[in-house]
Amino acid sequence: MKDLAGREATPVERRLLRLYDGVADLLREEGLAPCVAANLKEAAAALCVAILDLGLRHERPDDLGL
Amino acid sequence: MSDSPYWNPKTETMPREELSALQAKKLRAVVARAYEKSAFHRRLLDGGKVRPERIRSLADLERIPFTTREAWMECQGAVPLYGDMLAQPEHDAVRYHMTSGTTGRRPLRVLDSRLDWKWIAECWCYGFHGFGVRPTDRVFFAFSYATFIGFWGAHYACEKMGAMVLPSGNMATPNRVRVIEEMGATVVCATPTYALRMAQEARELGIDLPRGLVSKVIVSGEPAGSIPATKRLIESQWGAKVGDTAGMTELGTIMMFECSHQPGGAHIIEDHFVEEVIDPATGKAVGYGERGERVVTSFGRGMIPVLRYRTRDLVVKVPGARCSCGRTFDLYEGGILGRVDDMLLVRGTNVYPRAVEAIVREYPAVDEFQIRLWTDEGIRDEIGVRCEVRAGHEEHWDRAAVDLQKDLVRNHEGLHFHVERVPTGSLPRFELKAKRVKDDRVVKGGA
Ligand SMILES: [Zn+2]
Repeated sequence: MKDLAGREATPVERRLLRLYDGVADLLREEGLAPCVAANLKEAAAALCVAILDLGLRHERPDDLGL
Repeated sequence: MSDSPYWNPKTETMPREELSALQAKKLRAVVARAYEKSAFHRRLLDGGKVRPERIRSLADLERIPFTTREAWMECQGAVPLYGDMLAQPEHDAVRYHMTSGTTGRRPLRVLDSRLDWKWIAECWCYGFHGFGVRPTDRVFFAFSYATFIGFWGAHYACEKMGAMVLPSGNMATPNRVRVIEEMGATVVCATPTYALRMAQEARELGIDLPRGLVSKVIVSGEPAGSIPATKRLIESQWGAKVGDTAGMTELGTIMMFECSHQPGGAHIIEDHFVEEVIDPATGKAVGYGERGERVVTSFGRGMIPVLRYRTRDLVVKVPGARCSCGRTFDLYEGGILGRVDDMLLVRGTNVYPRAVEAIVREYPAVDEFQIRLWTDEGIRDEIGVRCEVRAGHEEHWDRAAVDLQKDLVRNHEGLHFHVERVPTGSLPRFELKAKRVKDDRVVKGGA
């Protein structure tokens, strides 16, 4: 997998993406307790910024309400 | 965690070709999203016959029509409160801010989401980390925390970095100075003008700032942060290094920062923004080293996309290699050089308030000053500088006034300047954006 600058993603970058995808998936679950949903949103937004910084993806997760 | 001098080592040192590739991909995504989600931007792009899928490289950027403050104001006037420019539902927003606004102008209203705020803080992290702020610092904010966006993002940046934040809210100046001393602040954030105001207050309170713990003063909000003489004055009065940053409400954050190598300019955060410099009269791009107007495109703000926004800020872009820090991000030499609209035409001579400030600040006898313009004999423009004399410098004033007058004349093609002393405390002081020009002319630009 390549980043937006055309570099091969590093192992750490791949792990970061997997982590973010996991949090985003969990956030799409129905019926999360308010405390879980709010903190997952915080986590997803923070991870998303790291992904934008590293130029790994450019899509904004508009469906997550972040 | 590494002790890198860069907040984001990957992009801050990225070769220019890779950086351009990164920017082109981000640009394409941002344009496509703005077109799909924001009616304002769809109109803008349709008006310029720009199809988002045709944006492939940075060269395509100039096909996108400019956005202006006027268009933004009109849009929000037609559809209160936010116009039809939001790219996300209003309920995604977690905060509201507005521009400070000047007489007769509608303030701009902005909304930001949770992700926007994380990103706003992130851009400040580039600047604070780059200037040497670390988790062990105690950072004092001389900032009122109201609807003006100011240092809000910097506050969150410091929390994110793990530094200790010392907020001051609506504290009066003497209290702020006492807290800085009592809490052992190591970094102080303020406008350049207010940094000088606090230093003056400290002297009156008998607090010796240069012997204190503050090692960095980070300034924002006024072009003065990169005027060498103003900077030296703040540095000598605080016994600290001064780092300049600049941002705007329309972006929510900073787009440039001065690194710890202090090359006489500020790096553009080019992995989150594309900055173009144009001739304000023709709209055509100007090259490295030429003065022009900044035009900004943001990759980060989600609720309000920003495409080719004409900032009215005057800048000179130079290659990042001009700085020895290793960043590849281009620099704005001398920071923000003033505003396109700031130029005063006085008897046919162009006068930039920032240039006047650069001269006045060379005189330590001057504590505060104001540029005043008036009409004489019903037609003739006159310009003068009113000065408050710094305590302890009274005996140097007469000599300084003569030299200052000569310096001003020499630097303005022989235009006569009046130099006048006014009582201490009679000129306004500013916490936010200083307004040091008082234009009382009946006819502007008169012979
Ligand atoms: Zn540098």
